[in-house]
Amino acid sequence: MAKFRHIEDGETREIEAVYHASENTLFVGEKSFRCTPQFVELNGKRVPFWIHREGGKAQVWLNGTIHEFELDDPRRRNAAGGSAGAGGGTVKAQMPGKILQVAVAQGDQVEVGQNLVLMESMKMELALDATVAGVVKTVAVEPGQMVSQGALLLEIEETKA
Amino acid sequence: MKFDTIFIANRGEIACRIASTLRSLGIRSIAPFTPPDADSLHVQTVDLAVPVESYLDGEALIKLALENGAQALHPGYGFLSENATFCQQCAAAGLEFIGPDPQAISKMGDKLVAKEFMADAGLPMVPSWSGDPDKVAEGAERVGFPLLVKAAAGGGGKGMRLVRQPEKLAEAVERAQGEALKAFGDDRIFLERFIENPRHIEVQIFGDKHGNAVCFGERECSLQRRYQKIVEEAPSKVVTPELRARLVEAGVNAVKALRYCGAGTVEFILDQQGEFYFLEVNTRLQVEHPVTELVYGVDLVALQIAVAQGEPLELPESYLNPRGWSIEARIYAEDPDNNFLPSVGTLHTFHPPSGHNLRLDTGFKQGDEVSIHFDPMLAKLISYGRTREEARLNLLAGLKDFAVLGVTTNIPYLIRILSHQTFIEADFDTQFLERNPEHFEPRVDPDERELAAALAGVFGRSNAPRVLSETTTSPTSPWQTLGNWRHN
Repeated sequence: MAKFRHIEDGETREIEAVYHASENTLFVGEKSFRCTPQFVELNGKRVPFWIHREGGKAQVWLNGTIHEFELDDPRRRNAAGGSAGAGGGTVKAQMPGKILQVAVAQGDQVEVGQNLVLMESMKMELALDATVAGVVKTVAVEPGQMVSQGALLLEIEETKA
Repeated sequence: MKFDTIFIANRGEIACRIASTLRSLGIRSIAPFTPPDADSLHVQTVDLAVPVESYLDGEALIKLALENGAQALHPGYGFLSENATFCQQCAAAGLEFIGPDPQAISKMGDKLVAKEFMADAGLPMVPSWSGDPDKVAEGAERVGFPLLVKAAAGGGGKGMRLVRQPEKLAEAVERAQGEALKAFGDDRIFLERFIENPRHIEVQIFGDKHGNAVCFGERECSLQRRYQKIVEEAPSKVVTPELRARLVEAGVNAVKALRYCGAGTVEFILDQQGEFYFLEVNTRLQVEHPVTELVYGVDLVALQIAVAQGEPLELPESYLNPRGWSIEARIYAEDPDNNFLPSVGTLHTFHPPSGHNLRLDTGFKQGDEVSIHFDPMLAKLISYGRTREEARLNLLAGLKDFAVLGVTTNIPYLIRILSHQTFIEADFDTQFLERNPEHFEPRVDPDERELAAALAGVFGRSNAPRVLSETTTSPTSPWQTLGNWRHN
């Protein structure tokens, strides 16, 4: 279960949600919804939803209403304070876990804040984002791979401004 | 004379609407564009788009029309559509203006002249008075209270004051004069009996160059805010066949008296006793014309072109009776939960609904900027149904599927209106929305909101396929400069 925090009336609220793609199911706290990345079933009806994310804010169109949120995404915080920053262009696993997704390939130009790797650890998703801009020099892991803490995930050759 | 090229002196949804008819008639379309509109939908819709400095530069527009081989010019609504001088300039340049002649435009453009003219033509009038401003108190006594102080050159609520007590009259007159002078450069005012809780009913008139007069049945446009229409429909729940016949007769009389040529609208107010009174004539195609098109099965733009080409109006008898029901909702870039302030930004998501009983008239597409330069109307969503309830449900479903992100819109407000018992029963008047704002406050379902937050958390990642773009735009806007741009 990934926890998502959003700020409502100045108060941070936490929602536990996880999406099981193979089951087309979204779990939200105790509830579950039939869901795809385009539609969610609401009161027995399939309704489309749309998301626009800009910085830390998200707008969600759902069933004729726009919901606006300030997101407080723990995965981003982990990334920002995590190992990616330590070595500048060297991205290491902060915790032992499983690589879910590698969002870049060797030779890719990346920007600060761009997502590089998504991994799962302690049943939490962790997004590792770039803290430097540059070109991906090496990619040392692939999706599905288990990694130990401190393992090298990828290296970025920093572009000097 | 058959036209092979028509210049559309407009932009946005109405330029697209006109271009669509021209395309189906096999007529080449040309439209102007100003620099901020270079990538807009109307530029992509017409056969040829030509740059101009301003949509109000009549001489430049005429020159461009002629240079590019147009025989006629369609003014759309707003901009130069009700400008008698521009109409004359077109005629002088040998360019057919698709609309009435300059005399009809200037007569109906002056609300005082229009009233006198239509009173002479036998249309029913609200008791009113105009004359020497020093004798306004006597006038007020004759008209009766409550009354409205209105600007002779006015429109859109500018220079208008409601007076319930005689002792408040002098101050209201002074204020109205000041406002009218500022807005129209003309401080003449007149008094008019204020009809309590009326409905707004209008009829679509048409005349040709051979003296034929036609009038389609009513549209009801009672749902307004600050004298701006929001939801319109045809026909009206309260108009009986007998009343419709009388409205149509009044419309035909107006066309004949004016020797009117082309499309126009005669607006009436309908009181609670079922009596109607002449309000004004709009000498152009109205924003809400699609509801008439859907229930009368007519393309009003095609009819305008036929009439401008000199063809006689020959309509089958069936045109006299509406078939089914149509409702239009105007989608504005404004925040209904924040005093309806206009909203600007980028349309990151602009995903209109589809359906065989829905029609969309818009000048926007996904990725467009909504700026403060023009009308904040994003789109008109128009539904059709065999019954009013069917049309209502079709429109409601369409609005719920109309996803717009990046710019705040009044769609949630429209959904609330269409779901309201008073709307379902069609038991409203022109003051309904303003009198009951509390009925239309946002009601957020906490479960839906929680679900939305979860969706944002799960699918709202920067690299998720559903997210369209990360941007750093959205300048805040000087709201104050807006306000005069909507058209009725």
